[in-house]
Amino acid sequence: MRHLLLLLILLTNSAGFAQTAQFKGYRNTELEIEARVHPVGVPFVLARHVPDAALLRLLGTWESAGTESVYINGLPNSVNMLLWYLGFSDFSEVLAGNCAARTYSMNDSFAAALARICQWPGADAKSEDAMLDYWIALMGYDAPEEEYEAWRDFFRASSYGTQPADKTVKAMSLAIFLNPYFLLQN
Amino acid sequence: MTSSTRRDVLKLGIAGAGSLIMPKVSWARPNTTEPHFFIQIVMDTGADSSYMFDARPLEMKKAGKIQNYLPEDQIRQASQWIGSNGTSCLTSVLAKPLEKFKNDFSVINGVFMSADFDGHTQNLNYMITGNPFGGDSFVPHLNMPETGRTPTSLDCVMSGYLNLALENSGGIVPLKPDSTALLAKKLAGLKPAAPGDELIDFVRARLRSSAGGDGRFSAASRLMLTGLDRSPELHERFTQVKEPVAGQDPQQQFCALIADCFRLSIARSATWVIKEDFDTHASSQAKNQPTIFTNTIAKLATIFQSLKDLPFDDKRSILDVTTVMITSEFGRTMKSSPQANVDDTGTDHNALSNSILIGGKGIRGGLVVGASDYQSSEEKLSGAHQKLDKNLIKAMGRPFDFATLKPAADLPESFEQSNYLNVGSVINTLYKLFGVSSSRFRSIGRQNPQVLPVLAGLMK
Repeated sequence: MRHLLLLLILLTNSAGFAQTAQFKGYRNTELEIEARVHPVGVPFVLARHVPDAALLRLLGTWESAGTESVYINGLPNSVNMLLWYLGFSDFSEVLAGNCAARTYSMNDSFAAALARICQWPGADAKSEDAMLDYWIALMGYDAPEEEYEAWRDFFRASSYGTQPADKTVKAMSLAIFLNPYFLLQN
Repeated sequence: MTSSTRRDVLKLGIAGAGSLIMPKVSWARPNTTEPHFFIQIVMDTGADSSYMFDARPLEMKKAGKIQNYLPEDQIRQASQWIGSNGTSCLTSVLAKPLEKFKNDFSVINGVFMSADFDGHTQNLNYMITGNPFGGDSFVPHLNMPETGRTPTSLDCVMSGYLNLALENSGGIVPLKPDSTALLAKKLAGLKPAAPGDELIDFVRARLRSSAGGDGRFSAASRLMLTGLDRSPELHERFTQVKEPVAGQDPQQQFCALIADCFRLSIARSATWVIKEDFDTHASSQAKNQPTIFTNTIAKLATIFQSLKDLPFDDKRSILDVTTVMITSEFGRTMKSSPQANVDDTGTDHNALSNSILIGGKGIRGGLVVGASDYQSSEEKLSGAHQKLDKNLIKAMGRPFDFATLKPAADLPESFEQSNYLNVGSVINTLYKLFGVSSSRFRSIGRQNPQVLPVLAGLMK
């Protein structure tokens, strides 16, 4: 009984509940995109999609503090949400631009998924297979099924259902990149 | 791999864990009060105030009590900085560049920081949050709706990093003038993520869906949602931030960025971290202090001048609408050990006495408040001092008269913290100035907490 009481006290002690998940950080995000989109050995550089590489520190990074390293700027706020929106709007536009002509260096698996979704609003692009392919190509298996279903249903049913591929693929990509399962440590 | 197999993997899902209590976010009420901002300048890692406004006479160095690596003729040039309230403090010749700003700030000496700990992180946390283990910074409290002002987009912009354990740091953001200007240009060509946009509304819906739980992930989703909701306003404001002026020094450029942030309601506060080699444990480091403090005081003079020159509007300067506080997490000992040779010693941390400069909006400038003890080699030290500083290598704040803002003459045998000017009183004074609820005021004592007095005489 005393142990249960202690557990209850600990569970209601607000100091013990001070933790909030944080962003994975810009470097981990770069590495994930690199693994999913790029050919082996070709790095993904998020700095190319924001106006100054110094701004990437605002997206979560490790900093030396004397003999320690501390993780800083990982908590979401309006500045880093603005930066993620800015950076991924740019990168999403780059990906969507490859619907017209393939200019971006990507691995075969991603290229195939992109090529299929670039047939939007054609029937095959809207198929379960094609949409799931593209979702997993960018999100991996980091998100639960309901996130995919919500994303799929939105793009089929919204005005994007009849929009051209470049506009829709940009929006699809950006929606994935701004999903909490993509950006947050889990 | 077939679709159904991948779907099976997706079905596994991710479960959040743990639980926490998150503060609600309040939206702004119409601003019916005067503009009021805050700048905190932190001399990180413990600055020796004896090279600024809490100097010691040459005889103390000659008596082997305190190091001072200025040439002897410059030590002799230390003079009384006389406050308009009748109190004075011996001030190093190095502080001369700040004389022209004398009426813009007041000097607070003998500030008691802590008795039980004197580590950088602990004391920084204690100064900023009231808890050596960290907690809520006082800075975002100055930006809350309870003050009667419309909160700005961010609580605080920072020039650099401070090693703090904060629980309310979501609105505290480091910004640099160059990168912020580039950001402003790029944002001008991008549509804000505003409600009503079909895609952004979908993104918001997914965040809301994740934000409903009790776990860490849900808490972060709520922060993402709040951040995204506020980003259009921030987006528009950032597009108006000006480019830094070429040729200006870093202090001037950061002041200009702060001015833009205040004018555009991007931030309520700014924290400037002065990174000099203040933590002079080694004698080689301590011997460099004349240069360190020459540089530091030059920076402070530039900052004060910039804040006076930069307009807030057509009638007021930035300093007119801003309260400024300059401090460090603690002071320094007079030498590193009782046996140390003052011509070849470093200094250690001293949390028993610290100096704070405070000025700008709402503060009476030109005052000297409080004092430290051990001002001569023959001074009789109180029993309280001798108990807390057995080696007698520290200055300690004198007991304090809160009514007159002057040091009290008594020499108490035992230490009673409420008799001294605690850093919490300075924070409570800021809280009072900004209209922060008294429920947030700092206090001391575990069994019967005593709210630390506001320094009413310091306020206009």
